[in-house]
Amino acid sequence: MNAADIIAALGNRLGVVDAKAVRPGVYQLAIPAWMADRDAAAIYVRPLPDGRLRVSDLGQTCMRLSYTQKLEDAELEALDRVAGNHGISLADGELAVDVPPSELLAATLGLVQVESAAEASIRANAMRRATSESFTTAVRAILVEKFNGACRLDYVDEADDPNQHWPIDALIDIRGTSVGIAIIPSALEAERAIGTKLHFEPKMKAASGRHRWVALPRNLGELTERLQGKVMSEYWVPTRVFDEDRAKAVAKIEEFAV
Amino acid sequence: MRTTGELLAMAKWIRDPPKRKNVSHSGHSGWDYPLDAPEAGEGRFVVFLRINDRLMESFTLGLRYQEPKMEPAVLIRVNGGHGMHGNPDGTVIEDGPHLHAPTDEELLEFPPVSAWAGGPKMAIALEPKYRNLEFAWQLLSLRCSIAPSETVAKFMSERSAKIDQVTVEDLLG
Repeated sequence: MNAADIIAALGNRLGVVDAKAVRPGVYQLAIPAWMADRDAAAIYVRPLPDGRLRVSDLGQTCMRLSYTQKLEDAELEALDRVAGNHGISLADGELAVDVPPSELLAATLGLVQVESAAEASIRANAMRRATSESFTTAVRAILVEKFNGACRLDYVDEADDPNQHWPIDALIDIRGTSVGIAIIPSALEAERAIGTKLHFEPKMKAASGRHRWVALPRNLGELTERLQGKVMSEYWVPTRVFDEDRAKAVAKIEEFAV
Repeated sequence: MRTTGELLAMAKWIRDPPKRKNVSHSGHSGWDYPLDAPEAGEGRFVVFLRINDRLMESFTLGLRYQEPKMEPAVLIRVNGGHGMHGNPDGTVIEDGPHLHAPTDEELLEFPPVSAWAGGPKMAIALEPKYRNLEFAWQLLSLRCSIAPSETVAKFMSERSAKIDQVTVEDLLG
């Protein structure tokens, strides 16, 4: 097989199987580029008045992502970044690029790559975020149930921090002891918690009354060793994996406070 | 732990009154119907409908399942026409409505089928009548053991009429 054979083989196999008009002036390309569920990549071509071609997905990628996840800013920004790497833009839920006819193949392949990447990386990121959010929500509910009115969620010192840059996840008054709780589902939240404590510490030390700091990690072992060390040096950690025994961890907070 | 087949066979109901959630986004219209399924324990079923606003015959009507700490999985879905589908066995559906459904082997698997959250890879071509959402809903509810719901059937009928109307308008330019 020589170079000409390879090009011929590639050309034959990559050749458009069909180009079908789905609307006046809008053609769907049928090429054997399969997504993970084996549906073909969504490639539509529309001739433009200036002689270029608009190659787009007509919104199919966002629609497919929405089967199992909310399309929030994080997902759309991630999709926009992935698309931008291939010179494709995301607007009104549609991935599109305008190219001269000579670049139709490149644009088509680029769009296929973006559609595939959307399903893999964006979904994975969304799942990681959802896992963090659901842990935080669950722990907040447990603290409120246990400590009722003594538990203030997202506490900020409004005088000192009007822009609310440094919220304490939960501030609990336990028999005169003020306990600042950091809920830590991820490394990012661990760093935030350390910063929050360092921000509050001087003022709390100057004020009267006892103060304690407690961290509730989803899984301390998932953080780097260095970050684990930082968390444990700033916070008391009743359990390395909160979900292993939630009730016990919360009971320990009460014991620790007095 | 339940297999995909057991989850599909489990009795389910549309909540009464139906709590339909509009999850439309730029470029597509979408609705989620949470289901009741007492046997599911902590698991949750949702029927989801998505319609491409630019190409309304491209719809997806499916069943999604999720347990705590688990990724959501589409167990089965009906598609209106959106182009080709290439089955893992090499057969190709050129266009038209089709059903993504678990194979016999996949029905015995757990966790539920979700190589990608879009659902099973294997699809079967459907008769043209399944371009109509009313028929698509009947098929889905039968395959997923969802009790009939007049409210949902009426909604699907309304959506179908809208799809037909807009598609004709679009085609006429």
